[in-house]
Amino acid sequence: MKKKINILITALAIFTLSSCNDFLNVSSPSQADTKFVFSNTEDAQKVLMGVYVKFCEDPFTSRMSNAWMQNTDVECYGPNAGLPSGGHRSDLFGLQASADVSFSDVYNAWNNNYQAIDRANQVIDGIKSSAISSNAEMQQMLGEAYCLKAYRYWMLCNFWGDVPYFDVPAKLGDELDKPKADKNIVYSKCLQDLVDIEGKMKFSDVNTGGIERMNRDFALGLIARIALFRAGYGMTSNGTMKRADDYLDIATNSDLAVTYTDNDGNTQIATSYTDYYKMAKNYAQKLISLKPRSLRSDFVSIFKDECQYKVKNNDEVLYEVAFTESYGGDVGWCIGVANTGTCALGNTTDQVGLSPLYFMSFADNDVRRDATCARYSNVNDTIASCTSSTNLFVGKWNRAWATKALGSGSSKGTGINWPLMRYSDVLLMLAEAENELNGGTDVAKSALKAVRERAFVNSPTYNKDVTSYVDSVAGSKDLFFKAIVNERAWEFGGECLRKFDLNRWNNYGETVNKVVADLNNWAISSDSTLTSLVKDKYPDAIKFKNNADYLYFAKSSNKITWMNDKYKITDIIPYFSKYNVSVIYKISWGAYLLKKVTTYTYNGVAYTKVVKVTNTDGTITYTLDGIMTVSVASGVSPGINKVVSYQAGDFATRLYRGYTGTTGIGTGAVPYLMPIGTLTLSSSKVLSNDGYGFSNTYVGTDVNVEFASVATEYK
Amino acid sequence: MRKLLCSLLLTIFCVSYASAQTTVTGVVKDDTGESLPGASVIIKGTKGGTMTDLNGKFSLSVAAPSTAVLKVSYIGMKVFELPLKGKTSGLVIQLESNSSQLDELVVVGYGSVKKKDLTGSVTTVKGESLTKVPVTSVAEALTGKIAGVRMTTTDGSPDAEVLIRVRGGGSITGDNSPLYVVDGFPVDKINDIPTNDIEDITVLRDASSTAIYGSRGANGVILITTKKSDGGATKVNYNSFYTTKKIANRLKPMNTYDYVMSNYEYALLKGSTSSFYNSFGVYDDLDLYKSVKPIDWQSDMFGANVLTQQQNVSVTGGNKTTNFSLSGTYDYNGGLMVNNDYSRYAFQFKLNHEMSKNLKLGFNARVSDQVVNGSGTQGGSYKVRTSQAITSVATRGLSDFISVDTSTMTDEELQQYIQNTQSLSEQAQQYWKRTNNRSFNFNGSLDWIIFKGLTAHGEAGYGYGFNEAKNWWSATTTNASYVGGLPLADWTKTNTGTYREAATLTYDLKANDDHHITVMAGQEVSSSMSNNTYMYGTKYSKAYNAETVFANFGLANGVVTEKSAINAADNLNSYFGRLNYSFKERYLLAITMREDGSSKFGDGHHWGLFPAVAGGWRILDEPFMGSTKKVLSNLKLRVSYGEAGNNRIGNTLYMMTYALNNGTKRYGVGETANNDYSAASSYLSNPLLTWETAVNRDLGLDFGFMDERINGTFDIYSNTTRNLLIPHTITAPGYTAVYENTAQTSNQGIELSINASIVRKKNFTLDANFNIGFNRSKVDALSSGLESMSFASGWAGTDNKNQEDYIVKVGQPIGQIYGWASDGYYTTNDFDSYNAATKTYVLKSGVPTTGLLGGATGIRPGTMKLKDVSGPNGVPDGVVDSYDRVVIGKTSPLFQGGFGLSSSCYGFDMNANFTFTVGNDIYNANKIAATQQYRSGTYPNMLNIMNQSNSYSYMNPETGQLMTSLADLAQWNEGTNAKQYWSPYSVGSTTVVPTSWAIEDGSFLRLQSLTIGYTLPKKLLGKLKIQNLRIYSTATNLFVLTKYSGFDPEISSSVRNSEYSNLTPGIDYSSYPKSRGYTFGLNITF
Repeated sequence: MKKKINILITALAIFTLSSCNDFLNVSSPSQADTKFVFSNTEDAQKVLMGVYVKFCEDPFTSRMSNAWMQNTDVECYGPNAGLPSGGHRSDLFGLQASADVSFSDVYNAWNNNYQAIDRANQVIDGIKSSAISSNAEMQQMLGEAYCLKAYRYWMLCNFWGDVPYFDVPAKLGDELDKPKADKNIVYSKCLQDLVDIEGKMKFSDVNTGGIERMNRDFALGLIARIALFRAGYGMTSNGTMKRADDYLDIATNSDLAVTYTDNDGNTQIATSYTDYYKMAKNYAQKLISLKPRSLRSDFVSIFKDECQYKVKNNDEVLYEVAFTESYGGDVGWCIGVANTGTCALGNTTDQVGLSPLYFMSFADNDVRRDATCARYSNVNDTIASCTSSTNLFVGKWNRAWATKALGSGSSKGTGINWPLMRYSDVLLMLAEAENELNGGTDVAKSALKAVRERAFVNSPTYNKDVTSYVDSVAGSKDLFFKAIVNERAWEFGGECLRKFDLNRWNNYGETVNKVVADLNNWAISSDSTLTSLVKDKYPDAIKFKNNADYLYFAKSSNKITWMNDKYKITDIIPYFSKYNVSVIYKISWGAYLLKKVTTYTYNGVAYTKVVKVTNTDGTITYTLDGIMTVSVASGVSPGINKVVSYQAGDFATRLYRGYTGTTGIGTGAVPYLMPIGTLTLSSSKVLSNDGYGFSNTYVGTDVNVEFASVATEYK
Repeated sequence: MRKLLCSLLLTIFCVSYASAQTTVTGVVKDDTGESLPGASVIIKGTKGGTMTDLNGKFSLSVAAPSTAVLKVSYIGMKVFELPLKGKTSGLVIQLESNSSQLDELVVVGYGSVKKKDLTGSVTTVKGESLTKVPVTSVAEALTGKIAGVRMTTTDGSPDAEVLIRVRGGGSITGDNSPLYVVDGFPVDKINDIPTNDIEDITVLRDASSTAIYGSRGANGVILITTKKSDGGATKVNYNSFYTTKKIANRLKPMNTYDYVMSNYEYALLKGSTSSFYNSFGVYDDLDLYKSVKPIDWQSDMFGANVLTQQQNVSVTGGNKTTNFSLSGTYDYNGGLMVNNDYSRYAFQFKLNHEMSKNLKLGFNARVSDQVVNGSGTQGGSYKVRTSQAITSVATRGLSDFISVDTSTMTDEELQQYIQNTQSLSEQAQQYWKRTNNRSFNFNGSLDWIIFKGLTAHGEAGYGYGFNEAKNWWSATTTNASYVGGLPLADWTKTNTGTYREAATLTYDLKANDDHHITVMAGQEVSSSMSNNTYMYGTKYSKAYNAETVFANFGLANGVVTEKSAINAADNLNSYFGRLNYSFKERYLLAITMREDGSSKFGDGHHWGLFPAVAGGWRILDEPFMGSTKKVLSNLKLRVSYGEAGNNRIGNTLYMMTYALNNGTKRYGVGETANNDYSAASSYLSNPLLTWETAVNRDLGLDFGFMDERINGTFDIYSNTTRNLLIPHTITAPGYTAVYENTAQTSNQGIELSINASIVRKKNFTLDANFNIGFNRSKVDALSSGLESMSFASGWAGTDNKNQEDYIVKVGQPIGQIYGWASDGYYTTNDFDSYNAATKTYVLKSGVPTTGLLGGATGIRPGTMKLKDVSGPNGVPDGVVDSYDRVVIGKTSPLFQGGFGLSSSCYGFDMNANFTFTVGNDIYNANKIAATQQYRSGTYPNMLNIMNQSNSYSYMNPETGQLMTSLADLAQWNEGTNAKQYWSPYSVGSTTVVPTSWAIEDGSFLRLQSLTIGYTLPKKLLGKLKIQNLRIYSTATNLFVLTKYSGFDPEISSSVRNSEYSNLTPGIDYSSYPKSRGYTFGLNITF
């Protein structure tokens, strides 16, 4: 008995010992804790890659980086017909995002930004508390994290306006449901971070990963860019566009101030918008003086290199998002030259277009025009097709150039890199900041000139296009500003920077109105009957009288030869002999912008179709829409009127319908902001979409403006 | 065997008693009239007696026949006393069965008790009743048999999951499935156990019985005991059945002519008929389609030749000290779709050995191998969906006669073209899938009687599994287009392992007749681990089929990725004890206590204590009940209170850790796919996480009449789940949700089950059973401050613009469908006028408009109309938008249950099982998808209810012209020509609007199975050395009485990408249609 009990006690003791508390503290060998990952550069870099990889997801690749940066005077894509049903990308093209509160793409994009920000905060926190934090590579990565965070906040503030600001990694118990912080405070905080770290970062020529990782070149450019945004305008909660100086206490609120050491070694504290222009100028100059370079002479090669997976450091591009085939990247899929058929390198679903007016705005000898605007698409590898005026695509990227076998059935995941900033941007930012501070000085002029020199490198009228042009605008601050506005359009077309620039300049509304008016005037000018009919009502139409109604071209294999680029041709016969072709094709251009609707009215009722039949007894029967019949004796008027209504084209009607409304002219601020998504709102106690010019329903309709209608008797 | 033994004993008796007086003769029979050999017949008060012979007859010398009393007894029968009163011959003594069910042992956690001593709410189903109906899965066999247990077969696919919910289930978002324990070993799933191998299944429903399982018992416990040998001569059983199946119910799409006319109308509405003409010809020729038979897509998709079979062989045998059973089963379950099936091999071996009188050894092993081919109708963008069997083109029109240049098509058009030219069964083949699960379980146990009353029990086991999932996508899938337009494949292998050890010590103390105490104490340790490897390859040659690719994975010309992960272990350490006390066998008390430590929680939060107490009162045994005993055979009142825990959340949610990115995107610096780390969990880590606790209260009454020929159980319960683990959606940078112990739910209900043995004759028996359960669930609290949470079923992805179509509200049940109230359609009376210039209809003031529909019609007469119930300020604002959503359906049923009849008659047996569910709503998403042009191609078909004569039409049927004027529309669509439905074109092709119209009553009564069998007479079989031979035929799913308009009312589609499928039940989208089967089978015992 005793023996039995002894055995029992021993057994129980074994069981009890075997189950100490360690048994309940488990870990996965496939997972690592924060302390470990920041203990060495190799693992820390993997966490940093986790910030970058957020660029490879749809909310960035085919939404925030391109498709949602429309519709401006540069990038624009025609939204679908009809009142938006909610939850479609085209609602955002048409500036009708504010009712898209439950559109999951909007929600996902918001989360994509904040996930990247939280991960960047983890890197910042991790490196700062790492034992090897002073290591140069760790400091470079810390800088990258700050750059990534700043870039994400810059996108958030431009897409959503004021947003919650988080400076540390999310942790339970912290205030996580934060109210919105003013975008100017967010900008200032990001600037302070960048200013403090940029000196510890490496320039692209010595940086691991070069321009495919954020580097000091880019950090300096980013400071200039955000400083310009901080100096510029943004949507405020009452729906108006304002600078920080107009409504915030910039003098005393330290959150709105940034302290930095200028290039002369003096400590500066930026508070007013002028201070921020100074700051932009300072950092643009800093890059130019520390890493001077000339612009790459062959403009198109910048983008062709990207399509061919070539990376060049310390050159034109300061930083480009690095994609790799099959693992991400929609460049050449949703933006770029269209492949409509079965092409060896796959197909496209282009969602970013360019305005025909933008095409027209280029000077004839500007190399950037044809590099930027593709008037053609690839039907297959040997046949190209020309596109009409409302189907211009971005020519900078073309998957047909790709040097990898993407595959004929391939779509997304091209691996073509996407540039976030180029050196010419820094030059133009310098020119702009200098003009704001001191007008068109030599500093401003030489920066602008540097950009134009490359554009007109082969121009027979080089002096006129470059030197005289720059001199002609330098006399007036306003003229020079307009020149900057134009130059940025020409230089960065298709790179999707325009929308945010228009916001900070606060000229989005006037730009939209001008585009709509110009499109309509061009449409009117394409029809001589109409032009004479409405010359009083649309006096400006005459300015477009030379704009092409059609573009004519000859085609051999996939080579397209344009007969006219911009202007009307009165007689195409000479071209047959000049180009030795037997067939000349034409494609609708200005005429495409005009919509003609024919109806038949009888007794005041409109019908779409009439069928005329001469009966055996000689009488004539007119059948309207198969419903109404009118029979009359031969020679007698049936009393039917044929009414031709000349209307604005669908393109002009829909592009900015969230702003233009029914009259064709918009007023107030452009509703460019996106709403905070339903799912975010439903879990927040402090966030809302109140104010900021938001509307719960879609504004703007598809009713085409009627220029004139002509009624004639129908017999 | 029994007869041999008896005759031996009889001989001995005959020798012992030889003195002759008056001879009394008679026969002893059992309650069915069968004669009983070996029954003991003695004269009361003397030592004289005898035993009955092989024919039940006895012959006995009695000294005083006028006063003597015969006492007849037989094991398992009640003792019968017969005063002879002088009668000496022709005596017929019929014994009543004493094997009262009340003395049966019922397996409860870590032990077993007599049914009469149970204090908890426990139901046992015997294996025989499961095997009578030929099914592959245990859960399917249990359906409708246990009150308070809801079993929902997700759909009709060959590997369909069966959702089991005991008393509603307490968790909101967590896993509500009960704990499965097979032969003492907790397992994740029970679909690897053939029904033939099951001895019995016990369901523990209240906390007094589940608390002993502590942490994992909160949602009920299902205990499965597999068959073991009784010892004795070796027996061989062979069971086999074959089943043919076909689709049980078909839906009606439009005929060819209606289809063509409807699409013509759509072309008119869009204002462009030219492409329609190219596809179908000009309007005047459309009459021709009246004679064209529509393509039968339902047959194409669900018309595979289905043969299902099962083969099972088992051998049992042994001797006094050692016995064994060995069983092997092969199942093949064909699907209605081509290349879609399920097969399983399962083996089971069980060995028991008595080492000495005090020491018993047990061992069992289970091995199974399951393969599922095909992806069925679930998930993914390129796999065919059930609704396509309706929405695919009724005719290909002219496209069969004209050549098409695919090179001019856009991506979308090409996709469309492929879908239009490939049959659905061909399309399904573009996505190839095979999953394989192999599981191995080994258990050993030792029982040691230390001294009388004190027993030690130890058991240990190890289970492991090898699971594989292989996917292959053809070149024409969108998945392929992202990675080079050539076939791609992935292959995931997951290994799992679980070890477990448990030891108990039981002391049974019977102090005297009045007091009986049993004390049990024990401890248990279990640990589960898993790891997986993943391979991914792209750009395989189109020339290879899937089999070739998986046999040569290295043939990839594109990206090849390999990944692996070893997951954190899921460890559990537990101590538990139980005290049972009975006083005078009438008053029962059971106290249970268990403490569990789980590795899923952080330091300081590991441990949870789960107590339970239960009492029972056997009222019938009270002296004052004596007079009722003739009628009543059992009356027991039970009451219990208990707590049980739940830790079913991810493994390391309490801490932040980094893991390699598992997604398909990589940052490409240096033209390589860079690895990156990110948080291992998408949930914000919460170091405070701890146990969720279910508090169960139960009041039960067990009753039996007429010697248990009618018996039943009635229970009332009220359960509360506290500290519910719930992912709380939060606004935080980088995270959208965090797990918290914040919510609370409750379930209240009534259960009743009755069994009746209506006729019990030798050659005719008739038994009936009935069970019913009512359950009301309620959400008592959500995360702090939240009054409601809404969730998206995700069936239409982002096309459902206000994506959340389910809502959880405090004070209301889980599973409420959220959407708009249907208000029919706009009529001409809703409009003031038509403006021909702008082509718009002017609404009368006060008539609400909406921007939700996005259809080709805009708002005009015939457009679907929704009710304007609210606005931003809480009052109707004339616009139907997200403010107008209301609860439009409740998916939890009022009650459900089942009933069955079984009968035997001269070798024939009959068994019918019915199941029913009443009062639940079904969200018929299939119907939505098939009554509008929902992402279904350029010229989709629809359900017949949407044909032009039944839905609002804008085409003048006489002229084929589009009607626009209010007068024309009214003439053809309203008044005497009133249409039942709105125009299908009033909702856009990428828009879905969940309305109350799509919510249907899901009540049903199903004849689950009807079996008729015949057992050949033993006499005949004896010559063939066969002990038993039964042949049978079964019809499954013979009929369903329901008002539901979809394929089948018993559904719960799992919707792709749905994180919250627990919260979005009762949705019918792309569920695999159920089949009707006819089975022929046989059971043989040698």
